[in-house]
Amino acid sequence: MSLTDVMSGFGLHMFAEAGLVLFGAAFLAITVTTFLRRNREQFERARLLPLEDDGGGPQEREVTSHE
Amino acid sequence: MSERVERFVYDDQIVRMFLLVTVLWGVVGMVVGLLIALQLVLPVLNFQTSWLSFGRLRPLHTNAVIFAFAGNAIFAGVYYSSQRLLKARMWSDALGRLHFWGWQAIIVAAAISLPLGYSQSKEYAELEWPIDIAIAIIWVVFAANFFGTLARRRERHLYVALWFYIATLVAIAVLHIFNNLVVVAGPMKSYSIYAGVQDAFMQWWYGHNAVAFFLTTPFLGMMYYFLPKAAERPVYSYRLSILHFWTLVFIYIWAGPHHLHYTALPAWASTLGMLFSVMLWMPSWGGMINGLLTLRGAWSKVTDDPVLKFFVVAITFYGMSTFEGPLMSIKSVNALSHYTDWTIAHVHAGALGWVGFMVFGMIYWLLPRLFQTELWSRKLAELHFWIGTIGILLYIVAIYAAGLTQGLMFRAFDESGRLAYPDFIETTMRLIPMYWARVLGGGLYIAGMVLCAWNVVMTWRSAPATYAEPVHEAPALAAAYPAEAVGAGFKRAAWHRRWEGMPLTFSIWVVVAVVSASLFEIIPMFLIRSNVPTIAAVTPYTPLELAGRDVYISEGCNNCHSQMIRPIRSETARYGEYSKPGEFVYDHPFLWGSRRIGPDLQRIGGKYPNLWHVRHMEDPRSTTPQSVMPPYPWLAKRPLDFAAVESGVAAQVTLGVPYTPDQVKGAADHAREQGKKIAQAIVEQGGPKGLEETRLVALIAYLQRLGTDIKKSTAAAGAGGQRAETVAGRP
Repeated sequence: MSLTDVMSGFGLHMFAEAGLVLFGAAFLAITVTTFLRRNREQFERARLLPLEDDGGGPQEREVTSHE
Repeated sequence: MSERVERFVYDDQIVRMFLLVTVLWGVVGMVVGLLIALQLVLPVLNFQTSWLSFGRLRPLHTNAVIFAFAGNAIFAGVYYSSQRLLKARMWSDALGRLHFWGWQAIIVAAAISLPLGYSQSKEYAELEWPIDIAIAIIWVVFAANFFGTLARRRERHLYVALWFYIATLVAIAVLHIFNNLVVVAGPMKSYSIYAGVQDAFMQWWYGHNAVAFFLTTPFLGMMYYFLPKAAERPVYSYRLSILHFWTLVFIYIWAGPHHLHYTALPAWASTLGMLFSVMLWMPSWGGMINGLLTLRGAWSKVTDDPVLKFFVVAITFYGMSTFEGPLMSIKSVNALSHYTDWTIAHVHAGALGWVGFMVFGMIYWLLPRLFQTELWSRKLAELHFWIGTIGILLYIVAIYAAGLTQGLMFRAFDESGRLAYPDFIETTMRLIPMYWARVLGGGLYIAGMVLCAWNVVMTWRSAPATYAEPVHEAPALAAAYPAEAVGAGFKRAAWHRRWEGMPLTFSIWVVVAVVSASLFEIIPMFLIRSNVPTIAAVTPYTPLELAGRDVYISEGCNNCHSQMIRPIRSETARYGEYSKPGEFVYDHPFLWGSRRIGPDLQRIGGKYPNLWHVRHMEDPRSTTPQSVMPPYPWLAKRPLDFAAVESGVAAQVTLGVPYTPDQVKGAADHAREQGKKIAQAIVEQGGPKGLEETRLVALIAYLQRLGTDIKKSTAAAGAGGQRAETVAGRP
């Protein structure tokens, strides 16, 4: 019995449905952990990261230049 | 824990380099686009020259704007933002330079090889195998530099923009390698290891995800960095960005089969592709809303700031394009839109609106910072914004109208139940005014691009002789997360922060998401027999037909002609029997096409005498007065390379096509023999002499064979010997 026989035996509907279930489970897990857990302050810090660095622009150079 | 403060400077020179070539290649790629748009209304602009003909320049346009314009912009954005988000200089300046010059060399190789007719034919993957290998190597160089920088970062948390960059790096590597697996047949010639249905599936798994992971995820990463910078506001919702990222990465990869609705692709794959495409509405709109709401409280700035204007319109186009894409993936909508300009309009709404305007916004924001001077002209940037916006709208409205017009004309029947527009050229002629409007819209957009280039050059010229290199400070990266954060465990989503802190693990999860979703479609596609029912009468191409197929690929005929008749009444009435999966088992690569600027050719074999093809190739308007097809006078003049015929057949044998060793050895003689017969028939029909060893005869041999196998009776094919039996025996 070849792998082709094994796969053909599954039937095609199984792949689509399993994929959908897999996605549903992954989506649910990510949503729950992202939105329901109390990690607000961590995300609050993370979202400010782009604003922490300087843009390298003329007006900021004085602040960051040393020596 | 005591914090050791480290000092460092960023490598902005590499960003400047990538930014400058972005503008240069943007102008080149778009001007080629304008030329091919003009060729469709003025075929004389093909100049009867092989390397200026539409079929060869169209891939040059798409590759230039995707990989040269958008590609270099991605690298500029990634190098600039990653260093700052990671608080670290790029890992290696040398790798950065190798990445830069390697990528430019690839672009130059593409700009030379595509007009010369070296093509694999697969859309956005046309480049031949030596260039593909170079792309893989340079991509690894980029990845090494990026991941090296991640490893020596001073900020533990990986900001969401970096996740999108990681997804881009790993997904593009996987897509590029697996779609470009080929058997080499010459220094610049190869055949896809996949055939027919499976090749089509792999191509659109790649093609759709090239849009996803080259034109979407890196630009979303850039949106999440540059938009907050320009608006001076943090992203609206970081949680929404997490959801946006994971759902997009997981869902996108399934959607490819929607490019093949109603083709010979099995219906299960088509339905699966449609379902996941529709699901893409969720993350796409989540991302768009997140982007637009980032501007809360900053909308007043939009009126004054050309950077924010570009970003707002770009994000709006992201929303519109990602609404339209899933809509077009619905089978009944796709039945109308497929093979028409609707697809071209959709692509340009995304490319000109989303990608282009994100790039321009980023360029104008970066210019004063990179070149350490004022932007040369703010007014010029404002003018660029307005003529660019008007240009996009003119382009897409005209081409939407063209797509709908032609799609409806394709399927129109009169009261007696016959095709209302049986002559294909009637549907083309109706589009000419809309094509002129496209030229105008595209011309305006390019004018904006030129204004941008001018502004860039003038800003560059007013830069200081030596750039200041500000020194930054940050504490060295702690060995681990603070104990209190980790100690809170799963409840505080520490698991995700750990991923974010460990780029290797995070990257592995991205690979798992991309690969597992891919395998759910790829494994059944390749292993389940019922996907490609074989047809005993279908036999391999003769050596001359195979050589003719190579000519067809080289000239880019597949850019305007499909070889796929869908099982739709208007198509079978126009073109004949619908296409069967088993007809393509020897098609390495598949040539189904994606747009019908000219008619489908699946059943062209035997429809016209050989002489008709001679006349048609020499001057298409001699057989169809209003044709927009380029002339191909060189085909009758250039000799066929018979040594390449033999190596081509040998490569096909490697791929499993059942030629016997004798057939391989005698391939050139067999091709000459068949060429003589066709040339003789042309002379007998009143045509020119001396065509027997030309490329034209090979192409005619191929065209006359197309779609004829299923018209042969199985018994007759069986009497032909072992080939039919071998076909029947294939899994």
